[in-house]
Amino acid sequence: MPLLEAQDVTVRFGGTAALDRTSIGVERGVITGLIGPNGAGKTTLFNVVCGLLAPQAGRVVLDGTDITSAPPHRRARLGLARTFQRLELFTSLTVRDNVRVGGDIRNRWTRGRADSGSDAERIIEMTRLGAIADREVSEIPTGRARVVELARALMTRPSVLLLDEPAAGQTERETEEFGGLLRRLAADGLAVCLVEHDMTLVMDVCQTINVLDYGRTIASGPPDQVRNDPAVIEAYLGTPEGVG
Amino acid sequence: METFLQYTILGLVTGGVYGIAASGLVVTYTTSGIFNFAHGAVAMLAAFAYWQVRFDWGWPAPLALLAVLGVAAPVLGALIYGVVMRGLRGTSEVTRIVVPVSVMLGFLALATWIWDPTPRTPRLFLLFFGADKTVSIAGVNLTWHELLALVMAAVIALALRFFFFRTRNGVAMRAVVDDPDLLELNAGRPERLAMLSWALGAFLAALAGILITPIQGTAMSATALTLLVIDAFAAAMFGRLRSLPRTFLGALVLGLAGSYVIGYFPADRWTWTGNFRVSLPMIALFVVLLFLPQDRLRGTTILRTRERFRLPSVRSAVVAGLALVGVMFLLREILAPTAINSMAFSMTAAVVALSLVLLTGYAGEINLAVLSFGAIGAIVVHHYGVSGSGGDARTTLWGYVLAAVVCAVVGALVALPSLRLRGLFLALSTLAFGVFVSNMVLREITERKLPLLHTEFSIFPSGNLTVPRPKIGPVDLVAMPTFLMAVTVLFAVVGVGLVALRQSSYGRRLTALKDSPAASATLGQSPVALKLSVFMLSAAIAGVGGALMTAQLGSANIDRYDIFLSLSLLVLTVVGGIGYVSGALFGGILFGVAFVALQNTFDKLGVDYPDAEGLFDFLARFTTVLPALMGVSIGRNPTGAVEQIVVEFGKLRRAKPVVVAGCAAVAVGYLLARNDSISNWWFVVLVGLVIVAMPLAAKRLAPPPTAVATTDGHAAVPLELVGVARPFEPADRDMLDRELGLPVGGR
Repeated sequence: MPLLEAQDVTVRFGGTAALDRTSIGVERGVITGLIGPNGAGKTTLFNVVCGLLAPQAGRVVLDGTDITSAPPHRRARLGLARTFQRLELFTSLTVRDNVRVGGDIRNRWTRGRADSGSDAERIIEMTRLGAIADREVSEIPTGRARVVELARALMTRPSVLLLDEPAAGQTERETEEFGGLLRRLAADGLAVCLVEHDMTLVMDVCQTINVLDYGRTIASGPPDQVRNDPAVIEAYLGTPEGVG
Repeated sequence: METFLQYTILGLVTGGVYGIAASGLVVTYTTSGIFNFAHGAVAMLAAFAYWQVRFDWGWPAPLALLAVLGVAAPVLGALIYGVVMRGLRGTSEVTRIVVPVSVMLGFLALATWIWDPTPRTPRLFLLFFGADKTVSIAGVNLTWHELLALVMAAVIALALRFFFFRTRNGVAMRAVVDDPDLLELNAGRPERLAMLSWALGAFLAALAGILITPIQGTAMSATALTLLVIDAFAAAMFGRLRSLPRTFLGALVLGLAGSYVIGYFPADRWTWTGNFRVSLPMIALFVVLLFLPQDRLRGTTILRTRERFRLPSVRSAVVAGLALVGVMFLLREILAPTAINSMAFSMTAAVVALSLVLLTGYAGEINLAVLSFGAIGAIVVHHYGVSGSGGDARTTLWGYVLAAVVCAVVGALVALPSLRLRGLFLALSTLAFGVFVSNMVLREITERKLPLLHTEFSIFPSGNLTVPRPKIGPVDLVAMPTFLMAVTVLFAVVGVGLVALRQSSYGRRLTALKDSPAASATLGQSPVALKLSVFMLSAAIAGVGGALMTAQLGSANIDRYDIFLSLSLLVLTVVGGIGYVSGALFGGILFGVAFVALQNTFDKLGVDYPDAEGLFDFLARFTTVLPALMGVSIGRNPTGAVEQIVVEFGKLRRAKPVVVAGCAAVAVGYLLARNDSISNWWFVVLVGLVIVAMPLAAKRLAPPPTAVATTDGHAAVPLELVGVARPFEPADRDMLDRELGLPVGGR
């Protein structure tokens, strides 16, 4: 049974359905890809899963607990962490403090006395942010900022990590490094769900891929199978008649 | 039955006028995202302007209406937007609240300047068509004026509906609400539409002001009319500041409730009926807030706010605190007793302002009624913190501790309903709370028999609260110089504490919550718990500060805790720099002494030089508008004055001789003043000169190494609008190359 499951989630904005009975499962130690054309509902699904958006129908289950009506902070305390497509860094804090505050917040809910400072140093080293740790986050390039968001999320020691287009703004080399980091995190048992447009990264690191189009899952399976699925090709490239 | 009908119709009339005012508020808020605190002030100005042309100058009514409603009000509205509010794009919510509040204070000061608040003959504002023109509806007599108000409300409601759904501009305005950037990309013009909506909003405010003034019947009061904004927003809250039909519904509910209170809560039996009626909108507001659904947690709506506060280390804060105490000690030696008095008052105001630095500067929440918490602190100390009597009466340490605890609890009660909601709603709740305290709590001046307890109790005895100065252990603070030093030390200690707090894990969590509530929550932070804790802490500081402020004065009447004073203190603290402890000092001193001193100086100069009396009279009056003008300037420089001073003085590091010379000049001046060789005024002038001259001299002697190229002009345009809002430049291509990791400038 998957660690995190969204079951038959439906979200409507006015008349249009952003998600139409969409389901997805994310397993421990596996990187699950979630792809689809722009507007397919990927970010909406993330928002539903982490509690920023209430669905009209469907359930979200984390480790056997139904969290559909839990507020975001309670879900985070159960082990859910995410990054944002539109960066949500704390702009008045330095890179180091952005990471550290993740530990501060965790300390608060675990009633722990862990030193958020040394934890932060460890994560900063792991994510190779040391060189820019004392910079203001508003000054660093987007690609690096995405890594800061990842580092911050890791500070809460999550069991499920949702990444929303983490490669956007990263250079090719940075993306490669990022992929390696993701593999190591998954190898340590983290369940990762990756929304991404960079197909090289997706095909490279994901063991299983779900494809969304107009709020419906149109395909899911291992990368090779998804890559050759006619429905997927149609969603991305259009129908042959449309091209003609 | 007849009386019931009578009160129903009266209620519908006032409700209709509230509805007109409230719909104006909704229109401006939805199109520009700025809550117009000056809405009531516009209504007030319009009412006074109408009185001026119609009754003082005797213009015929149609002409007067055309001048005020057709020309003056819309132009004023468009000007407010064009000159002030437009500059608020990309600023934090705090700035977007403080600037309109400043506009409100400015209009109020302007009105008292032009129209003497205590005229020799009371201003008569007659009903339209006169009081003798009445119609009878179902046995109830209604003046034509009241009928007109009802009809106007209905017409406005229908016209707005038509405008927003059937006209091009109206539909475009609704689009602005949803996504101004998208509208701009589709060749809409959000700026022009926003200006149009502000003109419309001002027109509606003016109409409401002119209609309601003669209905209320009492003498025209600038403050009462300005507070019409509260009735309006209580009504608008029924529609969550968005829906016009629900806003009108809310307005009618409020109007009816007020009318029934007058009708069925006889004032001769319950002395609090009048106060209760005035407080109704506030009570309604709290009820509505309780039932509003939770807001979606927001992310950062703006990627980079213009406010930048740097972080002092705890060590430098300790040094600064010691320096402040030292300077105050030296100043105390040369100041005259009255000056020591004002200085002590300023320092207590600065302590109150510290509560704002914590709440607003660190946590991004807003309290518009700090002095109301101060009043509660003072009341607690008055009742439970005095030992001894007569000349030996002193307040005890425990009194202040209790004041802090009570204020924290009251703060929790005030904040709880709105913590789930946007920051603006918390601000509005505190405003309502402030007016509620002024209208009901501080008017409880007579003794009441308490049920069950069988004791007589008066919250605010005889309208004058006496709070003696404290005695802490063996230290008696009854002498003003000692009191001044004690408050200064307290300010320094609390200030250093705040800096340390900001550096702690608690401070980082506050900053995270302020910067991105959504991200903070997805890390596991409960927004409500954190906001509640900081609001309680801040209310406690405000309560102690307010109690000390009252102790400094010895006794205080209701006016000392006026909502407009709370607003001034907030504005001045933001002018100083809301993110800094020194901003609180700056704000407190401006609040306590600066403007009063300036006004006194001009008054004295006017007496000394009768030839120029007109000029000095003008200048003295001008100082009343000055705080508001400074507040409005915040839109241009949202980080505050202290920041600029720090930046300017930062340049002095490269010019040691200048610092030495400046300090020497001040030291010599101080000694001379102490020997009474020169007067204190000359010493103040000298210090002022040195402060202005030092950075200038430093610039001369040690020019900055290299001018750093700024890209500020570019940063203002979001990336997707480059090429639309301004031409595409080679620098943009380089930037794109850099971000994409391509060789810069390469082909």
